[in-house]
Amino acid sequence: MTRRSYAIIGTVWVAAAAIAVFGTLQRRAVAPGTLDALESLDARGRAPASFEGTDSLPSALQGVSVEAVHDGWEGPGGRPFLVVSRTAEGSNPRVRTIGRETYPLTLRLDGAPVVGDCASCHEGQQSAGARLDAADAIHQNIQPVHPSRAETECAGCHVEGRVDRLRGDRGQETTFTHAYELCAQCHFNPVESWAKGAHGKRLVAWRGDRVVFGCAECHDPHRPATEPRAPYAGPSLPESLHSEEHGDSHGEAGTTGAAEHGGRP
Amino acid sequence: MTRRDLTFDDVLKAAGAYEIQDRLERLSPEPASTGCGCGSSGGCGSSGGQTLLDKPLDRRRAIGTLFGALAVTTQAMGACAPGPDSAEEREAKRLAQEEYFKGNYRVMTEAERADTVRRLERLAELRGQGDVSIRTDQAVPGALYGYAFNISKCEGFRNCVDACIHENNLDRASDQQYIRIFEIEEGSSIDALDHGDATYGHSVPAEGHFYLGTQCFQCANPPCVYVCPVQATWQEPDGIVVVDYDWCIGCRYCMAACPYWARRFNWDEPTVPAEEVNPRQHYLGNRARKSGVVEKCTFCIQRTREGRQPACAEACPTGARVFGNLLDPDSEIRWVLENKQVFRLKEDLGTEPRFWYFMD
Repeated sequence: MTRRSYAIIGTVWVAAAAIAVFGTLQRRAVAPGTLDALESLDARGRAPASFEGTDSLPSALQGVSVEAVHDGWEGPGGRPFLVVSRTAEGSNPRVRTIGRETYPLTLRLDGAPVVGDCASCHEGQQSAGARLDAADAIHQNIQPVHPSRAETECAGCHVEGRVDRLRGDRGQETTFTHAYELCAQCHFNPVESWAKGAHGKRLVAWRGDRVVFGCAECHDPHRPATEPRAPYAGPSLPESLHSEEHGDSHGEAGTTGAAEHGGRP
Repeated sequence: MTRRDLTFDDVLKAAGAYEIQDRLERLSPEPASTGCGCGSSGGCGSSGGQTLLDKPLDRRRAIGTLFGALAVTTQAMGACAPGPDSAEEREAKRLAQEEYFKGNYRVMTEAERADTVRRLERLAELRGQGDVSIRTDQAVPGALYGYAFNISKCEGFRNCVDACIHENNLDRASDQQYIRIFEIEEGSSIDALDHGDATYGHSVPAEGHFYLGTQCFQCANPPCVYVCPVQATWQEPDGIVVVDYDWCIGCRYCMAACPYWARRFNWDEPTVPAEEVNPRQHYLGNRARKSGVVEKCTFCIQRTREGRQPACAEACPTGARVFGNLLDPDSEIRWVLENKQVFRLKEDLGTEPRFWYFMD
């Protein structure tokens, strides 16, 4: 046999193997029935049967919208998991859902209704090199400091002419709810921790299907760092329940009562 | 008769217990409406004594019967000359008295557990705590709970503390809290726990500091359990260390024994505004406590045994808290333990906490 035929056989074999592996990955990505279960979770606001033991959703998940099934990513033990987004009715006021997509509410003038989806203004527009500045009335709530103020360009992540879609550095397009794919381009360690469960958190239940929020549910993609704020100060007791002997001990921010219960911190 | 011949039955007779019991049984269906109890239905005969003898009688029940009978007789006499107690007040007193003489949770039969749950739920209703439901779920088979806390991620917001207080019906008056978040200067050792600040009130995260939260670690080798003189605290099969609040005598040995200051004492009856009472309760978890007993974090036993996450893990805004089943090799907690650098507090004591700290 000639060297040429060896090469042909080798190429065919590699291609077949690649197809087989790709098919396996595709099948593993979504467990049977999982998507149906999530659809019912969205529609009725209740946990589907697969979330055994939970008869109502935790407050963090009220108004949750199922936007994405994690495709080709694996959680701990190689299990697939599910990514959900919050809707306008949810506890995160920064996003709302239009149809099946979520949009940051930063696209909104203070006190004014939501402008609409991005395409109503940006459809077909060429915005190469466009940046935001403080004088931009429509996008005034967006403070693009990420990845850095000097480098941030809309087209770095948004698809030109269709800014409600995102484009990764290899040209792959995706939606806002799959934004973690873009985050993972640089922040591979945090995203690995997120996929495996060490960062971000498991929603709904500790057993059953694993459901998590995507990166942009907690981090503002234009300004991802956590803003400092005051900590929870302690329970507030209605005046009627204040007794005289408790009046003095109550009111200090976050004390545990440890000092009086043994004198240790 | 000699002292040796004196039987317990004689004692009961001498104390008039059978007569009282007999009256009690005639009165008990409708104590409020019977007027003078020994009237219409055929005299204060002695046949009721036999009814009592038919039942298995242990010391605890006999004493309970005596006291109960005395109490009801007093009430019956009061009914002849109507007193200030309403029917509901009398019911509450009777239920409280029956509760007082119940056994340790671990030796109760299923029927006895159902009885005490019914009494406690009714008492909560009578005391204006709303329509609570108290469960006695057993441990989930194949579950052993573990917790991991990411000290790189915690920013000290204390949302967990807030959630814990409301979930577990903690005393608002004394600011009872199971969780403490320590603010520790970067670069100092974990010994800084002794000097860390758990009472900060300034804006967080503070520059140059990290945050480390403590609560009950549900140790595999729990010193608090070994020192309890009355076996009012023990470890459940899923690893949760629980307290039977009705068996605790308030000696606080367990608080002295715990190296992590995880247990809390109720100096007064816990005060919870009626509209804030969490009605989803567990007998070994967040049900109403009383004055003079010890309580502690139970990894939200009322939630975790239903499959839900503990309230602190659910409330954490930074995702610093990882909870899961240590026996499930595919769980997040196992991934953290196998892939992150983890440590536990005071490992040299051999308490084997099921609560790990890790860094990114």
